[in-house]
Amino acid sequence: MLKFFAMRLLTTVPVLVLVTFVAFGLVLLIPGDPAVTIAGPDATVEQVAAVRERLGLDRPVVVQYWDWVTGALSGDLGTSLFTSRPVATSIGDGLPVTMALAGTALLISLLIAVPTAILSALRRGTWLDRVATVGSSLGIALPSFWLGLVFVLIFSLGLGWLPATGYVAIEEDPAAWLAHIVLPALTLGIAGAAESTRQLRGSIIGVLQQDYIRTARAKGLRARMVIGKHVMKNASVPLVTVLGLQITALLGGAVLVEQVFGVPGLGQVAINAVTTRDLPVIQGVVLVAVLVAVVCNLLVDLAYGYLNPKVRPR
Amino acid sequence: MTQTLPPAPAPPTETTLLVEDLVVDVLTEHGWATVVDGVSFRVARGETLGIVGESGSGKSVTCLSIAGLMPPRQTRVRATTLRVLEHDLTALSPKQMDDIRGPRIAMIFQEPMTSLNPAFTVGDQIAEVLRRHEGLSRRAARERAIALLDRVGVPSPQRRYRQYPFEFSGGMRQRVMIAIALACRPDVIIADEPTTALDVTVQAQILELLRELQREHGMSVIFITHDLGVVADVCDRVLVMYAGQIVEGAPIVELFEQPGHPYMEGLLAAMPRMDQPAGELASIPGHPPRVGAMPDGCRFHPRCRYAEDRCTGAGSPELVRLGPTHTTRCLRHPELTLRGTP
Repeated sequence: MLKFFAMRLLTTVPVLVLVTFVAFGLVLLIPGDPAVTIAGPDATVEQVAAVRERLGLDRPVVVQYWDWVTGALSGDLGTSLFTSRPVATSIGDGLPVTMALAGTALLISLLIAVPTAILSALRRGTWLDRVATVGSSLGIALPSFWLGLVFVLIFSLGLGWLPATGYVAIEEDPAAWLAHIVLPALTLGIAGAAESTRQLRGSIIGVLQQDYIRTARAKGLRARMVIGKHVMKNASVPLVTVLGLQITALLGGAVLVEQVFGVPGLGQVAINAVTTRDLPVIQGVVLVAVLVAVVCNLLVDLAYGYLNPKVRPR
Repeated sequence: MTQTLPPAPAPPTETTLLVEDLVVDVLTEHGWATVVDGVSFRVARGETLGIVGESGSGKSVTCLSIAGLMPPRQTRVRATTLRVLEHDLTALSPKQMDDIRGPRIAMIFQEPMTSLNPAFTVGDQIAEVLRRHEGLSRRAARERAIALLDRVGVPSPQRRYRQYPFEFSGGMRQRVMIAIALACRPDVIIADEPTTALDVTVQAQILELLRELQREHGMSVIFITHDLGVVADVCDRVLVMYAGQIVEGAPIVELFEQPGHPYMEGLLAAMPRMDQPAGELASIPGHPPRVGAMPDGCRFHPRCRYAEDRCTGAGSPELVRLGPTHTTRCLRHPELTLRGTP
């Protein structure tokens, strides 16, 4: 397993190099000259040239890339063109919030999906199964910003149970953190929950028909052991695939949900940067988002290795 | 359906499994259909009972029903008596049946390639039976599982314990299945076509292993197969099933020398033999009836070369006794002289 981990870790190196290329390449792809944007519409040619020199944009692209990469490796992602704050600081503020949101969303979606899928698969064709199927279709179909607003209407404005917007760091006040994160996380997680439920229900039904499940029952194992151990370990493989895809979707979805609930996460940072064409910030956010995705995919592959002994190298 | 049989002579040894009038219905597209119809038999300690028949004859369903392994919502199982030693299986809850499977009844299945869970080590799959039924610690279960692997002839059991099923050959996996079945020293082992998927040489080794283990532990074995060669090799007594019913039951030698039912005669004639020229292999014409569309009268009559008018109507014939241990479900048995194998 350790060898598998090391091998898998090594293969992420080329991916990371490629990612820095792409993130940095944004400068070349985005139309317009950042120097012109910053200097303002009324600037003279000399002023633009001065800005360009100050930002180092007049140097060869390869040199700029090298500076950026070596800087990124030491944690320096440059400074914002507008606020002059270090990019790393902005990301450092937003990332933990988004991670907490996405993590909680994932947890909530699993807490919904796993029991629902198991019950649904075991009681296939009953009303419970039908309710779950309709529910998951709805969960996939309903857009998250709408769902978020509905949740706010019901739980915040209507019942007054939870705050409608804002965020409190977990280290400041865990209870307030939980109160603030539940609605956004639920909003973000519900589509994933619906998708995972469907996928898991299908794979559980498939696994239940396998000969080895009959063997497990023939051994006299208790039903919870047959389901919890023998069925779930095999049925989880497609779920893990879906989760791997969902993690990326969660990061994208977080941008929207953070807007709806006024959560100061990476999404807010990204939106501000994009609307002001704040390139260093955009580059930094893209780099970090891709890094998170790469790490999550690494975890997914490790989970495969755990679930399916055949994929481990010998 | 009840059988009106003269009382059978008292069995010389303890009865481990007693089945009386077992009826199994399964849910099909066209509603409930009876796939096992009034099956009764007993198995004595140390005895090997063969159940033969074509696929779809109900032999596997019979055994899965006894073990409580048929899917509950698509199956109805009824029986006058279903007893393993002193345990009345008809009165047990599903949870209580969990306690029977393993220490009382164990099963070996046909497909060694798919009957082991690919996600767990072989050792874990043996050890969990011991932990479940005998409450052994992880360590103690491991020791016993390694000993079992050794006993069923898996080389280097210490190393093999930690390996996964995909690292085992078909024959080795079937040895593991046997180790699992054997783990809690069951009173009855039901082996459902345990050698069908294996090479002939491996098949012989597995049969020999089963025979040895049976002698060692004094288990009763129910051997389900369609292979008469295997039956002749391992069984003391045989039940022949056709279309959900037992059509003949006899000790092995008697069954082969003097079959009492035209279906059994047909099966014997269809067996390839060394002393016959190739290409003269006989077969029984036609196909077994479909579930839910049983012919009236004797269920075998559409395919029977001896069938006459009275075979075709007024319900299925009763099982009648030909001798102290020989029964048949044929109306014409007194007048027929059926051909066996020398």
